[in-house]
Amino acid sequence: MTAGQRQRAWLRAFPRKWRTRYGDELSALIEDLEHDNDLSAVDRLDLLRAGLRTRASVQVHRAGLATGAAMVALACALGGLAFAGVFSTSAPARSQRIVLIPPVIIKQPKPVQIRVVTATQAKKRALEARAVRADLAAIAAACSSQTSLVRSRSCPAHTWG
Amino acid sequence: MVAGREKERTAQDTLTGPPLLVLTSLAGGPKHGHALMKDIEAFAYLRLGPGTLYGALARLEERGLIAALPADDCRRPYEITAQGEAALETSVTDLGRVVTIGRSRLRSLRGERETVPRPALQGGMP
Repeated sequence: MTAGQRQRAWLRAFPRKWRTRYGDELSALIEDLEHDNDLSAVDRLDLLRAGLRTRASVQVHRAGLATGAAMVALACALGGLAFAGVFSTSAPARSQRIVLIPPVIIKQPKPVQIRVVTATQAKKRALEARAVRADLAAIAAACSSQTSLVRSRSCPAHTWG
Repeated sequence: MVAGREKERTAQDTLTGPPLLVLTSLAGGPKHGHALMKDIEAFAYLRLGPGTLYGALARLEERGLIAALPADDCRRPYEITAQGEAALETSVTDLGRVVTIGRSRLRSLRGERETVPRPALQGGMP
């Protein structure tokens, strides 16, 4: 291994980008020190340590950039949630479905329209349960003569399914 | 609050260690790596390793405190910039204050030791 190759080998501890900028100068400095018989083992260890430290700082810098990107993504996500939250206040708090009960089943001249509430979130279950109870009461009032039929055939299936 | 921020800013701007030594050396004129090592060894009695020296040079150049001059046979000299002069001025002022206070406190500490009598030993020698 020639002197130049040895110098290059020590420089391999540094990142490639750093070597591109400072490699020739540092190589010349090592050459000067070797020429003066002034390059000690401590200096070689110093080269290794500085190279690894530079690599570590580059990694930290990259990690910082990645963290920055993650923070931007998180901010966008939170902004989206806030945006959705603003618009959700104008939307109904529960999802609803209109179901027409055919007159054949309840034996009425017209079909009965009922609202069926489907639970989508655990937090809204109480609210929905209250709505379901209200719906059941409405159905019971609308089909007072067919209460038993509605409960046994239509309501349970559509309400809790 | 403003004074606290000022102190924090000053603490961050104060250079210590190899960057301070490199700036001090370059304040005497442009030098390349080997000349910097020799100069620092002469005035600070410290030998910076080649890796430490170039690590400091890279950081200082990144901060705009020094600037590279055209290379002469791979040996590129560096010079201190106006920003580097300001940073060195700040650092030297801050360190000078620390040195002054440290000396003053050392003097009073030694004065106290000389003036205050030592407590008598209890159950001392017969």
